[in-house]
Amino acid sequence: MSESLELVTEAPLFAGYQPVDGVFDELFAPLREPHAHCRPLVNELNRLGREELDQASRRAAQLLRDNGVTFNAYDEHGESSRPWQLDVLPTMLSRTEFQFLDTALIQRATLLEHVLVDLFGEQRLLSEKVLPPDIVFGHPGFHRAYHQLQPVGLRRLTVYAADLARSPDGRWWATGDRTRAPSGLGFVLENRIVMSRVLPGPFRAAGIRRLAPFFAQLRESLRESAPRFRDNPRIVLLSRGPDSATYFEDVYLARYLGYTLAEGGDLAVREGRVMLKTLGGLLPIEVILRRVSDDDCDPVELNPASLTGVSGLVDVVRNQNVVVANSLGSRLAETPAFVPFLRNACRFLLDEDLKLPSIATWWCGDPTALSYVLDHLNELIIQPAFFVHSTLPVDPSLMTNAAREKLIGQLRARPADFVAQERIARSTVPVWLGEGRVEPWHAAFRMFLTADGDSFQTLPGGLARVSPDRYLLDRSMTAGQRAQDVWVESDGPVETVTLLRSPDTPLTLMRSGNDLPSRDADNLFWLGRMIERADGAARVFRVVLQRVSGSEDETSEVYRGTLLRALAALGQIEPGFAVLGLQESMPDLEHNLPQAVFNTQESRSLKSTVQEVSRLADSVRDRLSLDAWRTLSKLAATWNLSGRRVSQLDSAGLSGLVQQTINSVALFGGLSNESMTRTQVWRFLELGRRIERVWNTATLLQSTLVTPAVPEQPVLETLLEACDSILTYRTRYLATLQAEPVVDLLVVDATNPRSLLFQLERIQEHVSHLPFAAQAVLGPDERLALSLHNAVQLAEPHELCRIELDERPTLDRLMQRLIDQTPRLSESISQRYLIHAGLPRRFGED
Amino acid sequence: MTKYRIVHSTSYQYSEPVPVCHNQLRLSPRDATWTQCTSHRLMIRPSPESIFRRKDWFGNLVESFSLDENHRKLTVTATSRVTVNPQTVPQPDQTPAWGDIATGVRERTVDDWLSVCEFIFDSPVVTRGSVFQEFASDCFPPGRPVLAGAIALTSKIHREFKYDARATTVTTRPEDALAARHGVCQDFAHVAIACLRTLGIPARYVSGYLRTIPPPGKTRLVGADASHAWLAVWGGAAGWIDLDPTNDCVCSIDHIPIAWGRDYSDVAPIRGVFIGGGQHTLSVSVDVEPLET
Repeated sequence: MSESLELVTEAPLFAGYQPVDGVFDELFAPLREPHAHCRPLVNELNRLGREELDQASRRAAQLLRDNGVTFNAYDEHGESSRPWQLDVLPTMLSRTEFQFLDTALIQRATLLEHVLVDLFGEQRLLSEKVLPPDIVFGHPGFHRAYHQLQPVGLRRLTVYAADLARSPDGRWWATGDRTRAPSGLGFVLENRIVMSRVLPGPFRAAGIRRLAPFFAQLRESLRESAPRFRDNPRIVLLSRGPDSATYFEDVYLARYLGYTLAEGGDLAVREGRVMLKTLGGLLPIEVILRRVSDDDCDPVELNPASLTGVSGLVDVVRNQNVVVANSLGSRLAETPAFVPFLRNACRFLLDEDLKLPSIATWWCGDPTALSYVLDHLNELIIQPAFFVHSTLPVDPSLMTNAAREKLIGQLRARPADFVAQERIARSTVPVWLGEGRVEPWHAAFRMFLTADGDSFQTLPGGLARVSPDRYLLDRSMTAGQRAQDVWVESDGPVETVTLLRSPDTPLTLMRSGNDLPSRDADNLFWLGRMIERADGAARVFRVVLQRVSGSEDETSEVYRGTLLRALAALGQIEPGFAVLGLQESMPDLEHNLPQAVFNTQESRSLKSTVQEVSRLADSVRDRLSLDAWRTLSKLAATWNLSGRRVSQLDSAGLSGLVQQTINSVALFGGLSNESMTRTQVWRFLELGRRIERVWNTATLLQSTLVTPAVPEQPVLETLLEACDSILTYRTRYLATLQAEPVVDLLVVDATNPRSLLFQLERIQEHVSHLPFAAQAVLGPDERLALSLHNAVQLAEPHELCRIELDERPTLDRLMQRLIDQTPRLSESISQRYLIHAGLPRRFGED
Repeated sequence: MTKYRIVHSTSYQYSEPVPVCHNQLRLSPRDATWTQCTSHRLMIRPSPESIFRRKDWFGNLVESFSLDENHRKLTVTATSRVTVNPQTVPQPDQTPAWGDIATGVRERTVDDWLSVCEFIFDSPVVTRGSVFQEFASDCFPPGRPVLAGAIALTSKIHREFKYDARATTVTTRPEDALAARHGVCQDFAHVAIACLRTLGIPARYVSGYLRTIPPPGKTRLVGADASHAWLAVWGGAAGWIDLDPTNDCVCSIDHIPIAWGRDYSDVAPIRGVFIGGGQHTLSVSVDVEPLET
């Protein structure tokens, strides 16, 4: 702490930093002296020096990339995600500043809570003329179903976020409220973790408050709100799904808070309760932390077109059999048109003055406000009155005359649909641009609160979005180019609280059970299949590529033909390819192979398969370890990168890619074998892999061995390679290649993890451990698994290799049976465990 | 005094089994100044474990139920008995000037402004607009009593619109019905409501039944009746007055209300979501039988 007394007027790191005249700087006071509370941080940063900071900056970017942190700029507009960019410099808030913000934000959250209680209850704000009825009854989001939906006393807001800006005089202003399902908490966590890793020194030296107690309180609030089983209620985080902009954060928060991640289709209303559909059946849910918009939560009573909600949910809430947080209808409190009335509402409801003022806002439905707005149009930004960012705010000063006239026409025609907001000269923060360049960028801040008893608790931290463009952030809080972590100066020694659990609470010992959502199980099953499909194809391609680029010899043509047939049978190349005369097709092979591999029109092509692996891995991201997910996501990234220049890809390049695929799958396999607990998650992943491998191996054997090649040795050798069994074979039989021992090794040798019998033994074991198994009568999946297992176990290698009229009929029949029956096995497992009922439909109203 | 027995039966048939459905019904006639519902019975096949009853924001009775078992057919039959008393409709010329109503509600100065003001804003189906102003302006010269203007408006709709059951659907918007000058009772009511609200006059949507009187010499056809829709306009101290643009009349003993709200979306008789089902067909029958006169 003694460093804080040093004077750092000649800060080398910030020597070139030029704060903007006339705006507040968060780090430097006038005369380029750091604010007192920033001195330890500045000192520590100076000690590190510019190169260390550059390195930290690169490491931060790397960490965020590795963790797959993506972000969507305009989160309500479905723009494609881009990597999250975190600036390596933090924003510091002093203890006193935070104290002020804490008090003021708690008051603001309390006010909005009371506004909701009133509007969904007595409506004194209307009868006493504090709010005009236009913005309540005329609000398209005021579903009448929200009125008196939940009992008095139950919290309306469990999470609240305020967007803030600081004016040149250092005062704070609220630029917006978020009361629906505020986003950003996941990013705050991720930012903090990254910052503490890349700048451990400054992180310690700055003496800042920890975030974990806030999240512990959030969990506590949700737990307490449960209608029953308050000691350990089942809570889910209801996400809009992998296509939604906040999915990364949903996954992150669900995992951090320890809740099941669910989508609308995972939940169902049965017997008046909300149930989670799991492998083991339906499990009742007590609390839903929702990321789905209010109106989309229930197609029966709210927006009938919604596919993200749960049919019948509103009735369950009404009967107090489930709690939704934030409460349904809470979105109303963030209505931009409410802002001009909050000052009076605060006096009216709380009998206090509003401590944190809103930025000047005019609701154009008021004729006086409208005429002011029309007179000062170029100084204001215009946005929709009812829904935050249903369309982005517009800036009339940047418009063409024609566009401005059109806007004026809209304002006059439907004034009540618009609000106008003053612009603010936002404060700046130093942003590290690398190699010593530090520039002042403007900042928008998002602060978070969570319910705490009758009051709220403020997160001692936050999210800063920064931009060199002083107006960009007025359009959207999320528009900035980078984020900064907000650090709050600690009151004393930093307490170390971990969210994980209070260490003295005794825990009930448990094993993960059958509460895996069916959709997750389905995705895991297919992930297993796709991974195996990629591996199987990659191994065959590797063999083919070795032969294509290898030295020519007289027998090569024989096995090339056979291999092409195998590739065609596996769906990797067009069947026509294989039957063409070898002489004609061979010259094209080098050109055509990459084309086939990258053909995403073909669903079984290697690239399509890898893409599918990546999509499935994303959708079960919360079920995989970070390492496992990262392995697959990197593989997909490599493929996407190489895909950009397919035409230039030679067979060496393709070999590299194929090899990398095999390595990644092996790595993933190792991780899942060694690190995954043997729950249903693991079992479905495994089942998928085993079933796919049966199909794959049977197809390979049928396409290569049923019609014996002459000579057959090269085919046998490549087959053993493709099935990763060459080493075992050589150990046993040295260099002598014969069909019978090969078939023995690949079909009936239960000690070979690549043999068909080995797969079928595993499959049988897995299906017998599924939730409904082991009942008096075998299920169709169990019966099928058993019959395939027995057929292979009873097969006799000598008989399988018997040749009759230039063919091996017994082998053909057995392989055909496996090829036909494995899809049926897959279907019967799906039907028993995985299929859920499909999309909800509406009655054609009469 | 007239008593009616009303049987409203709706049935859905599916080509594939439906494992789950959730439904909300608004099928119970509601008490109004001139009607009283003396009994209401609901029969649902297959029968649900429980039916949950509540009043909605507008005071309509909502009955909701779920089915969790496979079914290929769902039948909902509501049987109600209603007593109707002839009402005295206010004299149109005795109602306040429409401009005073509009100003009084907008400026929150008339009695009851709080309870009626929500019926001057846009609602899910009805959006105010200048086309409605143009259509309605000759019915509402300055100073005209509100009910006189509203009757003129509904007469104008009756006169200029063609009744065509095939031209529109439940989701047709009033501006489209106005442009095409055709539709059914629901469209006529929506258009009238849109006109009134554009002028700032509170107007609400009413769903209900209409007693049909068979032509002379014919017997009443059982089940040939239909559910009907009209609107109510707010006449200040005179309260809500129901008007039927389809039949160009002020509602009296022949109209039996079920529910009211801002527009059709607030009062749809059956709202629900089901899963599966393949193709489905719907049949509805309504029978309004006078019990004694």
